[in-house]
Amino acid sequence: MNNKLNIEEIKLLIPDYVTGSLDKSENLVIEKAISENHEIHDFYMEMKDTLAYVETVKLEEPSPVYWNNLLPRIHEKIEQQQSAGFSWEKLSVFWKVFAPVAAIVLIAVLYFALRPSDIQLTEDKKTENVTRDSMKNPDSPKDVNSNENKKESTDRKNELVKENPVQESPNSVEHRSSYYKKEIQKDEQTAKDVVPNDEIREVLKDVPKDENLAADIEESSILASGESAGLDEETEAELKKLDDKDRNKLLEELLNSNL
Amino acid sequence: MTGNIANINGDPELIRLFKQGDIRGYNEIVRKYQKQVYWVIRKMVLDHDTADDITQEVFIKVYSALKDFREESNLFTWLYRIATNYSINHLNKTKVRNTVSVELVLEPIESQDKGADEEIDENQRRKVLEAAIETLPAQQRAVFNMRYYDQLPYDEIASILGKSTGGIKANYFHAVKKIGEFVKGKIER
Repeated sequence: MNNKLNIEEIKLLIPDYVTGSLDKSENLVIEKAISENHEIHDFYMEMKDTLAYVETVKLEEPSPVYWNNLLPRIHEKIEQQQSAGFSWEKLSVFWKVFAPVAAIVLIAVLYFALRPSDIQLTEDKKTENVTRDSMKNPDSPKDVNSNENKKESTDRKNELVKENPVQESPNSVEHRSSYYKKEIQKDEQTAKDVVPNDEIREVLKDVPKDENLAADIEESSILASGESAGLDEETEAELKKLDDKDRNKLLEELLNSNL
Repeated sequence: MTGNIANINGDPELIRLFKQGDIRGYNEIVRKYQKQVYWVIRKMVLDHDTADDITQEVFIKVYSALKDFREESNLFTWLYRIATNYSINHLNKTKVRNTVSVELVLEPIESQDKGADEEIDENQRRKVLEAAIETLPAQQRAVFNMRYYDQLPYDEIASILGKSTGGIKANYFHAVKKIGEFVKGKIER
């Protein structure tokens, strides 16, 4: 034991000195410090009084019956916990079965809740069918979606435009003429195939098959009547006065302006 | 108060019996150590009913954990550690309630105008000491009990509480000092 312990270190040992828990060398150091130092002496007296007070106090002893009953009560509690543990085990078995079933039911409920209804499906199917029909037959009733009809008609117009491109060249009238020729030939062929009536064939024979027929039809369709061609009388008269070149030019302008 | 560590003779045999499924091994361990475990707890929590509950919890814990007990320490040290830790946990949980109970305990004592120890009966002395112990933090209380009542060496206390020996020495010193100051204050009123 180091004899050069400071005051705080000696104070730390005083409670053990009071209870006689130190070894001989430690006791010697403390006794010397108590006798030489007033602060340590006072502190020692305080500790001595405190521990003497503690020593005199006795906590109340439980009755002997308590000690006899403790073991049975402990066993009772152990059994309670074990039975509670058994219930948990049982519950876990229940969950083993219930959890997958609950999961399946939940998935099914979610599926039916989030899936589109049969009525909605029927409506969608109807719409789809009508759209398909209208694409096949443009004259179908207009009770379908108007937007789709618009789109469809726009498509058809585009197709027609492709079939009949408006050319800016001066040969546009000639081009139209050749187009009408082709159309007439188609009609003739159709008439041959579809109309077997001899009378109609006779009528068709009388139709002149001149190469200028298409151009004449084109011209006559415009000049035939002011009202039907969309021209007033003055314009019609002016057209008649013009020579072929100017007339063609004017007609071309008119055609290009979609009048 | 009851003190000292019990002898450990026969403990390995009791443990072996229990591990073999013989409940008599466990029953004998309870009978042998029930008082010591109870008093370790009682000195910490002070109240008998609370000490009774914790004692039962400790022995239930022993029942479930004894099969895994490796006997690296002796049985009573193991029981002591469990009892002390359960008591400290209880005190930490009921910290607020303890503070209130200290105030309640002090009321009748403050009415005493006589300062001499001789004039205070045993019941009042106990109340003062209990009130003084209740002012200690749980760890200081445990150290005070282990060192003063059970006379455990500092290194063993340090091992049980998982603290340094120096820290445990300081804890004991401060615990005794606080109790002394508290008791002195009550007696001088």
